[in-house]
Amino acid sequence: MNGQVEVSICYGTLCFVMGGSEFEMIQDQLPSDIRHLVLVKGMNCPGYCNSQENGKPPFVTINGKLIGQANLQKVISGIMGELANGTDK
Amino acid sequence: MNRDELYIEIASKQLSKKGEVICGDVFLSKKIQEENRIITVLSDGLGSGVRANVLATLTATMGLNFTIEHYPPEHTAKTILDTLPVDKNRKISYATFTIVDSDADGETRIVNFDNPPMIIVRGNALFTPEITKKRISKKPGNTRELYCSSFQARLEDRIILLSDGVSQSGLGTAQYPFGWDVTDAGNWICRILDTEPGISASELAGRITEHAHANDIYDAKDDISCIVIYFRHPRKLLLCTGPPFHQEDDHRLAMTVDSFSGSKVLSGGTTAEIVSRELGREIEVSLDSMSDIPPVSFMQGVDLVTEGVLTLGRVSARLEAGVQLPVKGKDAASALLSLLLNNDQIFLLAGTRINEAHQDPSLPVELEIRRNLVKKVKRLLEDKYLKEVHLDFI
Repeated sequence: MNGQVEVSICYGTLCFVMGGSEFEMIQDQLPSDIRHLVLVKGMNCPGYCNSQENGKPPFVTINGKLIGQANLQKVISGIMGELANGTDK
Repeated sequence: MNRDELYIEIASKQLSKKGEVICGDVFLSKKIQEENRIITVLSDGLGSGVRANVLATLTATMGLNFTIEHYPPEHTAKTILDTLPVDKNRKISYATFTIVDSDADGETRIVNFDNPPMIIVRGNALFTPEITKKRISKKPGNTRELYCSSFQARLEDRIILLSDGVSQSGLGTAQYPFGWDVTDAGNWICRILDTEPGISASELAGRITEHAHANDIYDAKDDISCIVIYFRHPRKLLLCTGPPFHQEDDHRLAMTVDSFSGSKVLSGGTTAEIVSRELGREIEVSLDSMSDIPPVSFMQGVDLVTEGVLTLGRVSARLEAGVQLPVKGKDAASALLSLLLNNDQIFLLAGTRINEAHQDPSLPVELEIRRNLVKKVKRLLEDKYLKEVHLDFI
């Protein structure tokens, strides 16, 4: 993944109304020194909301790891975590 | 489907006389579903502004309703003239009208009372059907003439109705000292069709009114109206929304999408997911079209992929408020509206499986039930936009 962190935002109905619409600008919320390391993508609804085990919408995946009830804080700390993991390796 | 099947596209464009807020010409059109007829009426009221609009509305409504009931044209004309109020200054009761009554197979009857003659274009040349004159006498010694014609319209024929604001545009200017004659206008239209043979009715109506406005040096001397009736092959669109009730039907849904000839739209994340899985095609979400509704996605072989209920809700609200081509906005709803308005036959395929996650009472917004939403969109497209809509549930 060239050291980049891939953030996929679900744009299904439920995720969108539950706050997913906020994540579009996520790149602007990141510290400027890591912005270029993050790739933000949209994702067609994969149906995470159909199973209770996944938690509640909105859903975001960071390098494939699912985050339920996502908010800006959770997503940003998730990205930071991935970046830290990446440098550890 | 029969290859010779005709679709009748009707569009109008109107400009008010300079200084008037409303147009004194009235255009009405109605599709009679049971008889497969479309009736179009253009009426020009005496004078301009609100008063002319009232007279023209009265005339057009009567013309339309009498024609629906198959009244003989001379009877219709006489009743209209008897009904209109007498103008205080001019001591006459008067409004002009043209009624075009077309059957789905192209059989067309036209009645014209005092409007400029209609223009019929067939194969890039002007076509004049046989015209019979009928006399109507309001008072003894005061007879008026009604021009009736009937012909069989063919594929790619166009009927163009103009108000006298078009045929008299440019009156007194060096270029058109006697106004933009109907024959001149007809030849001008033929030249446009030479270069753009597939031009849509709304585009052509827009060009004609624009030219008439320019003839008047952008200072309209009278209300300018143009109606274009275009007989052509129907353009078809398939809109699939919602997953099928039985999972076994997923493949059928995907095959329907794949084999449909025309524009294709998938509205709904799960629907797109099913088609993507069954046909083995990737979905790519574009963040460029982001707004207060989810963005559009792309899939090979499909014209548009959008989210479901929120987008359709927005489409329904905008259809209700009134929307015209070209559709403004870059979001998913605008893209879908543009496709809907650009097509004539719309096939709605609504999946009936309930998304249980949508039924959560703690949701911050009310999500409409898809089935109701689709029915509402169907009704709006039929009644307000004269589209032929077929709705199927899967």
